[in-house]
Amino acid sequence: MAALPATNAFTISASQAAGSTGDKGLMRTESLRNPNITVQFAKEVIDFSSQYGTETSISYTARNLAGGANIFPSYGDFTQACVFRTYGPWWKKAPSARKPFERTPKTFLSDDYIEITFATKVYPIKLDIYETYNPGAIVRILACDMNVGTDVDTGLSVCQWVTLWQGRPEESTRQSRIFSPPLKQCPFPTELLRLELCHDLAPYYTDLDCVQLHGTTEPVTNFSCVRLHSEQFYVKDGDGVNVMSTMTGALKDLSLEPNPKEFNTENQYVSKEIKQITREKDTGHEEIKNIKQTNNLDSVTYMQSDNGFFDLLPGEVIQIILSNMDLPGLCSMAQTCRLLRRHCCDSLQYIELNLQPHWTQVTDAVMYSLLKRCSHLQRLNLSWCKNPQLTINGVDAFMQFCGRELTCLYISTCKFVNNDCLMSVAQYCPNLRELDIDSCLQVDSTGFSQLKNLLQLQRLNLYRTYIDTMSLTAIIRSCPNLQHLNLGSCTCLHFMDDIADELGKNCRVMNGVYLVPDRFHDSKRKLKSLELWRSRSISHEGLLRIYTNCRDLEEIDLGWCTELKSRTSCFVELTQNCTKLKKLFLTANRTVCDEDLLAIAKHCKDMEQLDILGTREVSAFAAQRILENCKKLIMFDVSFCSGIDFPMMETWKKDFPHCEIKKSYQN
Amino acid sequence: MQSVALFGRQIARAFITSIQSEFRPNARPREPLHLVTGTAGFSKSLAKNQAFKKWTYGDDAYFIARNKVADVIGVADGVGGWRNYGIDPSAFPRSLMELCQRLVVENQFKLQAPANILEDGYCELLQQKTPLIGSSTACIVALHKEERTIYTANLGDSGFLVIRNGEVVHRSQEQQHYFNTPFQLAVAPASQEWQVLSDSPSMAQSTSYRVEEGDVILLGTDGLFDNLSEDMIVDYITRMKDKREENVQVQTTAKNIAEKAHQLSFDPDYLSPFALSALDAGIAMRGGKPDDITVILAKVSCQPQET
Repeated sequence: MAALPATNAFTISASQAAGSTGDKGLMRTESLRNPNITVQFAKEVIDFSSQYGTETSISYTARNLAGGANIFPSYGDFTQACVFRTYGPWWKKAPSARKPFERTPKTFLSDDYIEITFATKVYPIKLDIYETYNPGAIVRILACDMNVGTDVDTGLSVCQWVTLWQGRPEESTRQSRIFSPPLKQCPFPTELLRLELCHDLAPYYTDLDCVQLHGTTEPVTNFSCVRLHSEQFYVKDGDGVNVMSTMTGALKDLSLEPNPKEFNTENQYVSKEIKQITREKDTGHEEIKNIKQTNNLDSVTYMQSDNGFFDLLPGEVIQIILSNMDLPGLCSMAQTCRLLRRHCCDSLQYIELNLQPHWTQVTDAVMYSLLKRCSHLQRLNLSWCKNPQLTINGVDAFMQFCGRELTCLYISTCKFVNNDCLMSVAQYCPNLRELDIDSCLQVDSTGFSQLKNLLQLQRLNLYRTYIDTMSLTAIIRSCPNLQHLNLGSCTCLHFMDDIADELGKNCRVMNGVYLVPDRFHDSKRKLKSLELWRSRSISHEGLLRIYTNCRDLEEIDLGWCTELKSRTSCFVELTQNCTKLKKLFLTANRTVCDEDLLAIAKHCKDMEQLDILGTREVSAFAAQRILENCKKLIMFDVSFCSGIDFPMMETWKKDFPHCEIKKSYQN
Repeated sequence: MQSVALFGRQIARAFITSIQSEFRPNARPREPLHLVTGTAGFSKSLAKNQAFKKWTYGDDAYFIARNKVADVIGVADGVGGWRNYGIDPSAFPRSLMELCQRLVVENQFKLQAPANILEDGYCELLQQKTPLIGSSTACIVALHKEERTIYTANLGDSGFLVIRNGEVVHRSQEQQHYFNTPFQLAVAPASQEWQVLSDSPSMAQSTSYRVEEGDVILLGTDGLFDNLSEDMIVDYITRMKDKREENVQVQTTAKNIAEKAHQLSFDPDYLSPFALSALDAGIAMRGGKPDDITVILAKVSCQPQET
């Protein structure tokens, strides 16, 4: 049933192939001379993972990618550009960084994505991406076909994504450029494209100006259409496209369960065996098991069939070998023989499951087929999974079956996430510690209020959601272990001071309850990172609640919090109270002055990342004191600080080589 | 004496205008209108080697923007006092006008409230990474093409006139705190935040007025209105009659008006409107007022059928 979309796609390409009779070479030259090439700029930005600007603004927002070129050929940090939330490795080095998933394919690099539509459907020939600041971050271009049809069984619309280009991030050339990577032939006309970006090598924010699509209304070379479709079923090289396509086949095949009955029973027997081991060893599937158990398992394997030398290998060794494979590899491996299939389907191989790299392929069918193996699943990443065939039904069933041991769930920018979804998460995943629901815009207070049932929560990412003050207060009250909280760009939090008060109380109560010396304090019971990026309502009163109570704070992002004024000496007191701060962002706070910098230099010796962009009140002297005193500083953003000039920067770069000093410019 | 007479005339005009607009029969939907625009201006500083910047004359800035539903024009006059603090006074109005222009082009505004364009433009100004400092007056006129109505917002002493058949039928009101100190939008440096005069964009005076084909809208900064009396301006505009090559005519007239204002501003014996209002404020002075001058002339005409 689930194999249907692929079959559909194949028939399309086959019919296209039937339409062509001419010589391939001739067709190509014709296409070059084809006068019907449509050239168009993006019409609209329909989806994106993050943006620098405020939701309603026209400055530094994703929406700016639509329309023609505003900046090109200028190079610099312009407001008219499309800018994403992060750059470089800095966010991955901060205390709030998430642990990476095992089994993530090496080819998957994307940090952010943006999806754009065009007025006219075309077969893409060339795509011009105008990169006007720190180019080189684009790693993948995909095209979507939304008119494949509907699935007969589920009635859901099918959409097909094809990678047109994939590459690695490049070092920035510090020049604006038009990036036109060689595209693969797209087998269908498309009006929806997606760019994926990897910021790892970007020295500062990457700015995109516009995107121009060249394409024809008729397919030009039928040869390439056929070639692309054949790649969907056969692996040719290590290219990401092929791996992805194979992955579909593999996952879908498993969901069909073509195996004989006796094998299933045996399989169950073995997994029961391993479950016993699990119970004894907890999650130690990589540890060496004791001999008795090994023998036990071995005998089972031996009795089963003749697998040559593989039978001589202890099961644990096979398991360890398999644990090094990525998910598509594991799925391919499962198709080789029964022995390996049994090991590949073992629930211990599915402690961590990262489906984000495979976001195009994850459907309800995939969820159903995976749930049988994921009974010990602890970490699940479903971010970006937006296939219309993935619905709340599949996720609900999956959570019901596998949610019990789940501690970590990332579902950012997922279309299926709604109030019902959070309800089932709250119901089936009582042990959840990390929850990432950033950019899930379909959830309202009904859904958010469910989260208060997740009593173990330590990390909560609510970036760019419609969380309201009431629901968040309830969540903070019921989750005493909260360590990392991201409230960036939450437009509905109108009373951030109340939230801050609640966070402060939460910390204080715990200090009261655990009246024990500091060293016995459970380190997990303190707020470690807090992101208030673009909060319009936090004032010095609110900040006071935070720094007087949550003194173990290691990271706080107060970028674009315009209500905070330095003259209330809130920043000085923040640094005096929270001396463990490793990351402090005071982006675009125009009031930050020398006094604040000297306080940071004096109190925050552990400071690693500091951002004071856009203040005119600081002098080079105070900034230098920070560089001298904060020995661990690795990133210091002094962009648009008029008191610090470029010659000064050059001197510092020589004197403080361990620290990357950023100074952005507009021209 | 003259000013009294002027005042009386204004009242009479306002009265006539209101009667006119009340008795106007509900016009049937006709083809949409649009604005044919021309701009001219002078920088107060005579230095010829000044870098020419798009959409600015000295510390003045303007914009002309069009989208599907509206044609919008606007001027902003930077407050020169910032030069004493080592800050370029033209940066603020220029950025403000650029942002307003982008808001129009990207359809990010509600037409019926151009004050919102100002407000949004001002908010966007604060959203920039560059810490911009300065202040400016602003005046925006938006023509709703289908409704045949202009919606205006004015803050400070820039202004507009709507001239029909040689008569001023609609005009902006000057907003001043005291003599020569208009209402203004401002962003002050953090250390002097409470010392700087700053009005909220919501204090802009908003009006709406139905226009007809052939009406002329003149938008200018105080450099124009302080040096040219209304009669002189109307005179220039009534001379512009011929319908052929509308845009050339509009441009020439705008240039003539700006040139005259510029010439008079350096005339030490000329009793300028500025000198008159200075006399009213009890300051004895004569002559023109050297200032940056910006003139946007817009003739309301039927939309050419771009087929």
